[in-house]
Amino acid sequence: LGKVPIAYIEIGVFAHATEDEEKVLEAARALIPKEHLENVTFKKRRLKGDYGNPITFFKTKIRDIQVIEGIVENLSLNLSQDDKERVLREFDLRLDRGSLYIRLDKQSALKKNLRLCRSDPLHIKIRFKEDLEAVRRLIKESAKLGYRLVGVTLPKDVKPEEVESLKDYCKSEGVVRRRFEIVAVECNTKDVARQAAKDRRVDLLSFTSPEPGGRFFDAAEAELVSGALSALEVDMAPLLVLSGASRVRLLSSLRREVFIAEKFGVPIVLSSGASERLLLRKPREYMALAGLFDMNLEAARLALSETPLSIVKRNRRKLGPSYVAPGVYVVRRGGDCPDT
Amino acid sequence: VRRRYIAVKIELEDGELGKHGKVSKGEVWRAVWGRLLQLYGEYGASQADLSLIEHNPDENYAIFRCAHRALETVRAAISAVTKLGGRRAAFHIIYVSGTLKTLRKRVHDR
Repeated sequence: LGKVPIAYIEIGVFAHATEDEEKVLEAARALIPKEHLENVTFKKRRLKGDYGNPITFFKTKIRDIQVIEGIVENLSLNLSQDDKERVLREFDLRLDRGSLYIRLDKQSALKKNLRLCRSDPLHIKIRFKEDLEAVRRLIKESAKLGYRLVGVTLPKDVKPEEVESLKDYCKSEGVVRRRFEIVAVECNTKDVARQAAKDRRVDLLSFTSPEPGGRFFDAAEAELVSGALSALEVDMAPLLVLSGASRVRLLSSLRREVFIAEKFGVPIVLSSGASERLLLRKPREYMALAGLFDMNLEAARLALSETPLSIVKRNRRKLGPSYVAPGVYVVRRGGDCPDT
Repeated sequence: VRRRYIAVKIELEDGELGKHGKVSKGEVWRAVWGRLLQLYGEYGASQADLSLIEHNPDENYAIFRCAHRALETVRAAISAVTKLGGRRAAFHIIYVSGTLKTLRKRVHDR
């Protein structure tokens, strides 16, 4: 299951005659994670204001996925809860033709303290990829790499006819096309994780944060999950994208989670987590990569094929007419049941 | 010693080939070797006995050789490649074989 794909982020800021250009630029650079700063260059443009006063405009466009993820993380960590809620509330207003606009206070950004603001702000434009088109390309690439069953997450406002067209597209690419629904819960807080673990409707628990602090799959969680039917989803994309210390931390979290899951009999699903074509790998390659966190080949094979398939099958039955309750199905209808 | 030959197809971002020219053999080697060292260290890399046998820049395809015991580690290293030179890339393993002859035949047949 993939993430929301971002095509690029644009950061722009005006420096007026009374302001120190360096300071303004520094405020803009505060948004970008330190380790990526050298890869980002701001273009400078000299403009003239209404009264002939000189204005400098700095702008940069970032396409590197690692830097994008860094900025998004930075935003989500450093914006206050109120501001985040406001962005969510005003999401539709801020969204224009596939781009999300956020304006931040220059002064406080300089102090590494992010705050929404209206007048003379830092302009941030987050451009999303053409969703369905990207999904289509992913499906096509998956089919090419030999997958027969593809699960994608769609934004909740996708129209039914668009989903239908995607399904038809799957069919034309030779991928299984059937009605099924999978309930995946992204566990970003401990409360969500615990609740999702208890809920029998949940099929997949996924922990998307690469840092150990954001992952809550521990023995207690596994115990709860083993009572339900859900599986642990392991996203492989971060494994490819991260490097150095952060990948080391991710690998050790994964190793622990896989060990716990196996101990408690919680099924594991390996998923690409890819938001674009170049982050997809073949199933056999994912098996080898799973070896990095000590999953053996057979377990990895199960996690790639049998387990996801059984979830899909179970859900098809659940959606079917003969489903009554978990474990109870109508075997035969009519009045001709023999007396016992 | 038993060896494995690995045929790899290199995928680049659409249209990247024309913009930056062809991929060089050195770039391909450094990409995979770098990942192998990163993931398994010098100890693991020494066991892999990795070498780049062939590289076809026109069709973006390459053949690696490794020790058969280290196949899984090499496979992980190859699939962990996300960058080639400065551009974004993905390496897909097409086929693995014990001899160059069958490998070439299989790759040719596809």
